[in-house]
Amino acid sequence: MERGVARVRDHVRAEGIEILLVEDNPGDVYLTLEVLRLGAIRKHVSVATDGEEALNFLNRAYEFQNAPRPDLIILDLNLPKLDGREVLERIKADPNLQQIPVIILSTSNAERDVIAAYNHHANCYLTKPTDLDDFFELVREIESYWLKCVRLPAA
Amino acid sequence: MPTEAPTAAAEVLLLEQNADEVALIRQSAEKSNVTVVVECEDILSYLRREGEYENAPRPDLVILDLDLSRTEDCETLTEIKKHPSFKRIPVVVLASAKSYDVVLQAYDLRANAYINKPAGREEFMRIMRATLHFWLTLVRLPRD
Repeated sequence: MERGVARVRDHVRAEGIEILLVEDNPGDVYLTLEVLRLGAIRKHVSVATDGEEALNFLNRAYEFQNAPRPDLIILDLNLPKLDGREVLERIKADPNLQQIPVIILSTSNAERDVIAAYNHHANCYLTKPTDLDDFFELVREIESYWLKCVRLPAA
Repeated sequence: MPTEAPTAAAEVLLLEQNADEVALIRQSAEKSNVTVVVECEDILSYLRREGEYENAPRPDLVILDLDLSRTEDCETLTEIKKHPSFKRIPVVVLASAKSYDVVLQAYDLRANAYINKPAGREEFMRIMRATLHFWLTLVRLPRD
């Protein structure tokens, strides 16, 4: 996959809710983007495939000078370069970024990961289902709740 | 799809002064146990298991109807989210304020989610049901 560029789905207008998806598994990226694309709420999704890229994007560093500020972050924990746990800590320790809701979406069901995530102010922790239909349904539920019910800080 | 098989009814702690809204929330809650308090200080007493709350169960979810222009309301949220144990309990803030600053403030104070209270009863119940459904059946909560 292309590195270093905020990936824009051509047919999604760059308006509406800005989402940053931080996920290194290409299959999971594809599925998540598909489900979000099918959702009715207008949105734009950027993808970062490692923790370093995610932080550069959020800090508008290097090639990300013009990166949009996300209204919502969906963050996997197991990432190359910089682990998602570290990314979460840094986001929630940064006065400029800490308001952005962070949804952890991880294969890990380990209690220590869950405890650590909430200790570092993850807004919620979701365990990735292994079943495809369940995964689709969960992403739909994320849209239903976070994009329709919840008032996001910048949107 | 729940990540954990539910073994007992979920516990919800609610700060809400409006009796109508309490009724709507209870109706939305169905099988969950909802404990209602009307004062900010009772939220903290409940969590600390002080006085009349000495046998209070630890809530799975806290819903606070807050006026963030009031210092006490802000401090309650801050206290929960600073506490080494209570900080892990999801806190949903309900408020009528729509201004950007107030929403930002709630998230700055570590609210897990902010909900604008809708004016209509049906919409209010829909949002409350969605909130309880999301936090109590989908979210992986800590096993505290």
